[in-house]
Amino acid sequence: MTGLAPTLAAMLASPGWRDVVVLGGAQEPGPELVGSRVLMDVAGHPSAMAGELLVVLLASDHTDWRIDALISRASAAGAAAVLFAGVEPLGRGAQLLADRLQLPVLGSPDPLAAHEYLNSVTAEPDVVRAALVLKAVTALRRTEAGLESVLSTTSAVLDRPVTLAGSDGGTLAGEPLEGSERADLVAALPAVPVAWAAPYRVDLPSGAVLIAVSVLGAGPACWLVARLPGVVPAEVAAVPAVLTVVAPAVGQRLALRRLELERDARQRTSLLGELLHGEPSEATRRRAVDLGWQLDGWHTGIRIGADGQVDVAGRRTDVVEAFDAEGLQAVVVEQGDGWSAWITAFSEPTANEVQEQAAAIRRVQRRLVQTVDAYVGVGRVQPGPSGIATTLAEAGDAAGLARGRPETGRFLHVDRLGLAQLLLAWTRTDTFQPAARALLAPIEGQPGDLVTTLTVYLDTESSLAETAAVLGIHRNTVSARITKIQQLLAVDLTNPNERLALHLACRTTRD
Amino acid sequence: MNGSLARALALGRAHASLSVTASPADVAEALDGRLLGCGRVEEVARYGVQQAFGRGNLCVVDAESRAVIRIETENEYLMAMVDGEPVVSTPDLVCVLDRRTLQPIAVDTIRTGDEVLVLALPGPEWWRHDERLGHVGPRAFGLTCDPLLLEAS
Repeated sequence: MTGLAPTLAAMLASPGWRDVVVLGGAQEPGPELVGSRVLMDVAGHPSAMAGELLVVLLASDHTDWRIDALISRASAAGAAAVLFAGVEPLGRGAQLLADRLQLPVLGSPDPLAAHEYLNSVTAEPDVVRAALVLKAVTALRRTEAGLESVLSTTSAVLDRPVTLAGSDGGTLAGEPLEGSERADLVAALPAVPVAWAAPYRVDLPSGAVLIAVSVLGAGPACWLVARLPGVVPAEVAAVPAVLTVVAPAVGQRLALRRLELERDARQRTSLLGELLHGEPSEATRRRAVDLGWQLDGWHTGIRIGADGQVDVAGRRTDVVEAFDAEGLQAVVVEQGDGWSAWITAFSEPTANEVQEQAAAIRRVQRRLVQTVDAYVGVGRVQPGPSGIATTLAEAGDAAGLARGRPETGRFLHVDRLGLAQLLLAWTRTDTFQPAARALLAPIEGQPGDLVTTLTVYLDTESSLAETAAVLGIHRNTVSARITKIQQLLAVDLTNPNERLALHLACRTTRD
Repeated sequence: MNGSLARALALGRAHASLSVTASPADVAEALDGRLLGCGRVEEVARYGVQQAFGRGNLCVVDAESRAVIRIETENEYLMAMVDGEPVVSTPDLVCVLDRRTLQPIAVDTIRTGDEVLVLALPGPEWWRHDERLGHVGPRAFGLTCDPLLLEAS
């Protein structure tokens, strides 16, 4: 039974003892309380005890001499602490006596409730657990749809702060964790949670305990974390059970939120797709207005690519926030493995404004780089609805180039200088040429002049018939060579980025 | 009561002959009493006039042992407790003397911060009789405690 004994400090921080105060003999963390015994009034004589709390139900005057006498008797009987009815301060003598005997003296307006709570956590931990779980289930049934309300309901049931934390310990919802506690939590949790994993218990140096249960739902893994300021063993056993009950409800709220996010993303992406295919129809314009997109005016396209596994729909908010933080009103659309964005001005921007805008976009990238491995291309300013497609196409090409250019901070702005000239200028640099040769090395010297075939094939916009005509060979030969090239280079010629790189490399090596 | 005056005179003479440099133990021996403690008055609580006149308590911490001595008062010192345990009560006498001058301090003049000796002297034998004890024991003053008497000397 002693394994269930909480320290006095932990009990004072627990929900059932909210109204218990220390009147004298304070100690940190205080003795362990193995149970609770009741004495009717201050004139009573306690029987021998072994580390229990002595609860005195009637104590009308805290300055009475019998309080001093009882403190003395309780200490002699072996009580771990004394709790009197009422919270009025003790007389000076009683306080000095409590300090001298090292006996914590507590007060509570409801001593019987304090007695019962201590007895239940020390003697009936299963009852405490069952009661908390039932309370959580009942409360969850009445809770509203939002994620925040699920967390606040859980927090109210446990009477403890509850947080939804990402795998990096960052707060997704609820009350945020302190920095050092966050680090301790992340260190203790596995990177990839397992569905059947038991709840994690993290003991902090401060004596507080974090209980973490993984929430498995759509999107990245996250953790439902409750913070207990002290170890009351019955509570530490009950909280994981409650969190395990709550976790699916949190997962469901997250999945719903995700669904909404994805739906919006799909709507934006499809509308952008329509805009990119020529002059928009009346219906497309109407939908654009619904989403708050300005089609007329002068547009600057921005393409933000991201390396690695990135949750494009989920991270869109970060991108929008980064633009907002730099004072740029950008439309951001999830597209492929990154985002397409554009900024609209009502009149044609001057060269200076363009430069300033480019600098601001660069700062946006710097903000994003902290969390996403982003590379950015910026197109030229283009007018009208069809300008969106043009400037975004330029931005896309620029981003493809920017990706391989760490020396410019993976940022490329296609300004008045045309994209073609920019590319050409770049292919003549010393950094690119060896890279280009290395890229084509596997097909260099192979039978059938594969480099020339590839160059012509790419120049003729991937047309087998045209290539055959230019080289004066049979179409099937071209087809066989292209297949071989793809095998040797291990590339996919339908991927625009890889095609662009090969195309440039071919240009360079042939010159 | 036979012998009261003689005892008062003897006590007065013994007190008058004490040197102010006498140790607390010497003072107790000279006055034929028991030393409860010697130290600073930490608190004097007076309950006001709602209850009996001079009702209150004071608390002295022994300078050497840090024992907490609590004295219940009502115009006179009624009962003394050491570390929460009642040790002496009416009709025996609890006396508080100034540590430096060895002059007695009455209930109405004692103040927080005074350095004092707390002594217990045996009360008159006559009151110890079972029939009379009820009239002068602690219960007569509202303290629900049986009389605690020094060994008759």
